[in-house]
Amino acid sequence: MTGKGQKESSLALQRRVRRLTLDAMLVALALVFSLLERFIPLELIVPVPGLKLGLANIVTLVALMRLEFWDALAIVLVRVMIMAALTGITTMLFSLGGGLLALLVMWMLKQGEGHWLSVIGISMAGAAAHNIGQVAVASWVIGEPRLMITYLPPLLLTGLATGILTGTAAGPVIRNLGKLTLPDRDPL
Amino acid sequence: MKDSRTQATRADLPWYRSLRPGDALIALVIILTALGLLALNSRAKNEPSDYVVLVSEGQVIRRWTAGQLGKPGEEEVEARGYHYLLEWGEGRIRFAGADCPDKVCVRTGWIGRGGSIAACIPGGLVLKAERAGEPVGTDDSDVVIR
Repeated sequence: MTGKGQKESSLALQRRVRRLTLDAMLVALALVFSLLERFIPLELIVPVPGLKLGLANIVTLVALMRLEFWDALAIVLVRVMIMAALTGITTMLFSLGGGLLALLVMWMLKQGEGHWLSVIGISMAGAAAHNIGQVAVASWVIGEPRLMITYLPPLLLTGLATGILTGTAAGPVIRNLGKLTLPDRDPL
Repeated sequence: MKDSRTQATRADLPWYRSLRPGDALIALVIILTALGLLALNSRAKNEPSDYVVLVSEGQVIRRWTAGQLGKPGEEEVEARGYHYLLEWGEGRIRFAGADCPDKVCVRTGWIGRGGSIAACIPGGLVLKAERAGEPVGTDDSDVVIR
């Protein structure tokens, strides 16, 4: 192998290690958020069944905006699978439905960021998609489409507020992560 | 360099200054969807009901008539290893307590009118109010389960 080839291969390896490390750190962070929000009794303040802050969505949003789609997908999948050990298979199915739909919607809207859309708008759409995905999977599992009209409307409305919250939290992280750690031209 | 300067400037802005017209559009679509579903739900809930059924794994395991729901009572139910306390009276019924992980069923509150429903997904339980002889779709079928 030539010197140039070795250098390129070493660079590629560095990038892969860096990408893997960053993804693993983000999975760990998402898990901490998922665990943390289980202890926040939000439903006592806002009595909406199934309401959650969706803090793990901050991580998905950051990964999607600063890394690539596949990194964000891997982070969602690994988080949901690890959380299944605590929550059980049925709850894992909801999280998977919600997480994947949110990721897909946010990825589609990503192109508009900074032009006609901000991170907060993407986050609101992600929160709504997460709720839709989750309740759709629940309706399907239990065979009751009526769950969609019973549980979804309040979740969609409260999701606006939680979407603004997570989008506001993710915004500065996205901007500063781009500025400090990952150069704009570096696709990782 | 140009990109990072732009980002640095945007990073200094308060969050509400970074909002774009598309954000309002997304919020509007979500609000309209929620209101539409709420209208459907309230229409369904205004229907009178004849009985409430408890469904486990797709099978009706308990049925309360409107008369039975008028007298206060409670009953414990077990499903998939979780325990539930059902409480009824004044023509309505609820999951009063549960040891399932998310307790969404308990937080759903009272149900009684037609179309209202409370579900516990981890336990695979559905508590729903139904009308006897409610026509299915627009055809002439008239299914009554008693």
